[in-house]
Amino acid sequence: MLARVAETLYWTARDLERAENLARLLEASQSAALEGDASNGAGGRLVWEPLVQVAGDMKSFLLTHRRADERSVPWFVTFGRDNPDSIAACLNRSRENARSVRDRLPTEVWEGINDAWLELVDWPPARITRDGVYPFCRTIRRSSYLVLGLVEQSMRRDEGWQFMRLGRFLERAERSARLVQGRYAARSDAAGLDDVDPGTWRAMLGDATAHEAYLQVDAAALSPESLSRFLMLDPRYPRSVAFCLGEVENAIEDLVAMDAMPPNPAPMVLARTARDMVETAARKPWGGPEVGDLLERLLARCTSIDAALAESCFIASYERAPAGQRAQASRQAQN
Amino acid sequence: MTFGERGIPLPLFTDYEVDGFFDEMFEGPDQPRETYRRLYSGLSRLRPSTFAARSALVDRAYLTQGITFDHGGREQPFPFDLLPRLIPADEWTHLDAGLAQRVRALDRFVADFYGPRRAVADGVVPNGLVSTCEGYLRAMVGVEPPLGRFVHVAGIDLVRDDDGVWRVLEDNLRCPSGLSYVVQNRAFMRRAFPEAFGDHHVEPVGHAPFLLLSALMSAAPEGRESPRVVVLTPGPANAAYYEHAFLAQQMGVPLVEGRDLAVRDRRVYLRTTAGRERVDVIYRRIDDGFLDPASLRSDSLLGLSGLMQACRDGNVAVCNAMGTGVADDKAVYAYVPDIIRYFLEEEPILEQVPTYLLGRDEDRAYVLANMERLVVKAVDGAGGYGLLIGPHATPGERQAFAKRVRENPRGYIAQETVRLSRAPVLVGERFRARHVDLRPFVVYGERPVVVPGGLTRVALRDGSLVVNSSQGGGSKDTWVLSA
Repeated sequence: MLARVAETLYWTARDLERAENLARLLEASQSAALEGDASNGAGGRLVWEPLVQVAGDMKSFLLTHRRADERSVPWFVTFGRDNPDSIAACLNRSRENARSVRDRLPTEVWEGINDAWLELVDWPPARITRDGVYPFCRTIRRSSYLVLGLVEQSMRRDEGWQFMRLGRFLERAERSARLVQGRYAARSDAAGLDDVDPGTWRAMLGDATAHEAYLQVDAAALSPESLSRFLMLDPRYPRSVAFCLGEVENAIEDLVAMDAMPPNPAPMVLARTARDMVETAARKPWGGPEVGDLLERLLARCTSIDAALAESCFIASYERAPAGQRAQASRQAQN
Repeated sequence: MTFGERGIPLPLFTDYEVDGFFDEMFEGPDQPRETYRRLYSGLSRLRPSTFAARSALVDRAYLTQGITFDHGGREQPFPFDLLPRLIPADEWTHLDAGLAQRVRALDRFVADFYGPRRAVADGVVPNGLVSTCEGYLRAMVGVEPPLGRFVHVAGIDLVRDDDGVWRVLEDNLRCPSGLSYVVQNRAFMRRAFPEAFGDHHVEPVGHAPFLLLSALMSAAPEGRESPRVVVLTPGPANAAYYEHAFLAQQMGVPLVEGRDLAVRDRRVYLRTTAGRERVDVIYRRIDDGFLDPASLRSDSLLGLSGLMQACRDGNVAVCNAMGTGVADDKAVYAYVPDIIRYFLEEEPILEQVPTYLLGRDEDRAYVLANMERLVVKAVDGAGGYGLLIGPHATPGERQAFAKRVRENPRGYIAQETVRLSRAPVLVGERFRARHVDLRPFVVYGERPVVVPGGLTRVALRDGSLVVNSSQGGGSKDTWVLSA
């Protein structure tokens, strides 16, 4: 498969996953902010700041906003022009990438992504303020589910599908890890508070579906430790870091098996060590300062897997579209 | 008597005017032509609002598919009119033979010009005329592509005059665009207007990408088994990008940009995740000059350095071959009937439009004196640009054009203004007459094959004669009916 196409498919899936993840989180955050301590003036610290941490970083957020609250953050996450990873920006990138490899996607998959974008473009931003974030987030989630379902049901399990799988699960692993990390950071600042407000911890799981999955595993032990362990280490929950890293590793192995990557590539070595970290952690009692340490090492590993993919099988950076290509391309006569 | 029978107006056609033009559908007020009778009475079973709703459905489908153009920063669907244009079997047989003949002759002409130059030596076409063509590429002299073929796909624009006579308006032998619309218009038509098919036997067009693939594969360098074909696009910023992606997908071949390719040892390779892979045939949708920055335009960001050399060595086929622009130059057009007689020893089957070469003194004097009734075109113009439609132009515009002609007479031709035929096009909830042309596609592998029908292009503005999609034109599905 063309290196450029592989990279583009990887990012198409990755950005779509990112948009969906943000929509799920925004929805969960808004609902967590309605009750308990979060509704009593602590919402900024308990709900909105952690969300900004996951969506981007607090420092650059504060450059353009006075504080993180129920007005500034939803706007920042959905349409914020100052946010390169807003839901709108992610969906736009995903769509432009999908367009440039549409010959490699089932037509319906491209149509699904394109329709999602067309719907978002028509969304009056004022409606977020008027109706709350729920209708918006629901639309984004449903578009993503539709596309993902089509990808699963209609695409051959060829290199293209594997690269999309890789992008999707690497993104998901990273977001779940950052979610836990954001919570831990909030807790160490003011230890104790979170324990009395399980609502905001639950927001960590993203949405009701995740919460339901958790309840089946460990409903009795509803605690920050138990929730974070579930999200990090559960081997069967498709959004846990352990599960996602397993998929990343499998995708790379499948790509090697179909000769789409050279044997024993750097991304595979990195993915294996990441899985080792998770497995080691699963054998030990969960909690304490090691969790923060593990989170940092895992996040660094996700970044290096991405970099290794770019280096070993995507198109090298000097071959990226040179400035001016667009202008020339649009002038080519198609008579 | 019900609506739709001869002489009884349909509500959809209220106030429809034939206006003295040749109308594709009507021979007189409310009198549909024989070919259109079944369609016309079929329409009587649809309410005007139903027809408009179906049209809106297709517009939405085009938008979803991303078959759009940019209109003031907003994406608009490519305009498609739901009423098909019909061509009866006997007329099509004539066109089919004429188009195949024309493309065979033009291909021979290009091969001869970059080879032995017999036609020039025998005085069929002046040497000076061809070698001053914008599309002439000196680097191609002496190159002999596989099968000696230069033209693998051609789009020949046809118009009908006041008497309903089909005439060739121009030839497109470089990167003719629109084949994807032929296939997609039909697909959308089947979904939105299935009833209409029931009354007709329509020649299918869905195999067009397969025909193209076969032609491209036959162009592969000798000895290459299961040759690797790619579509070379300038990228998503190009207006025809949708078509590039569609054709690549339908042919099952990679869609590549210049930066996805590399030349090593005078061979062309794909850059894949696992290394290099040899390329045999490049169906390019990039202008000649941009194909190879090493030997053509050095500022090209779209091409592939070393492609020309790989092509000269016969290691890769570029389709259409570079340099085919010599045969779609509008001054060479005037000589095409002679080119057909010379190379094929046959009489031309298709008429063309009387043409004046402004490089000739007597022609120029005549044209400059009669500009208000002629069409003046730049010889290398395309897409409806660089032309003056005398009857529609202001005196100032005509003067400005006359000045350009005097400064560069070789650069222009003039033609009698053809009063293009018209066809009904839905405007709001009623049909209105608009000018149309037809671009059939000829795919040339072992032998030329004409895709049945082609793209009927519609000038959407009332009275306009310019049908190009780059100028706000729309299209219609075109049905060749079996006998």
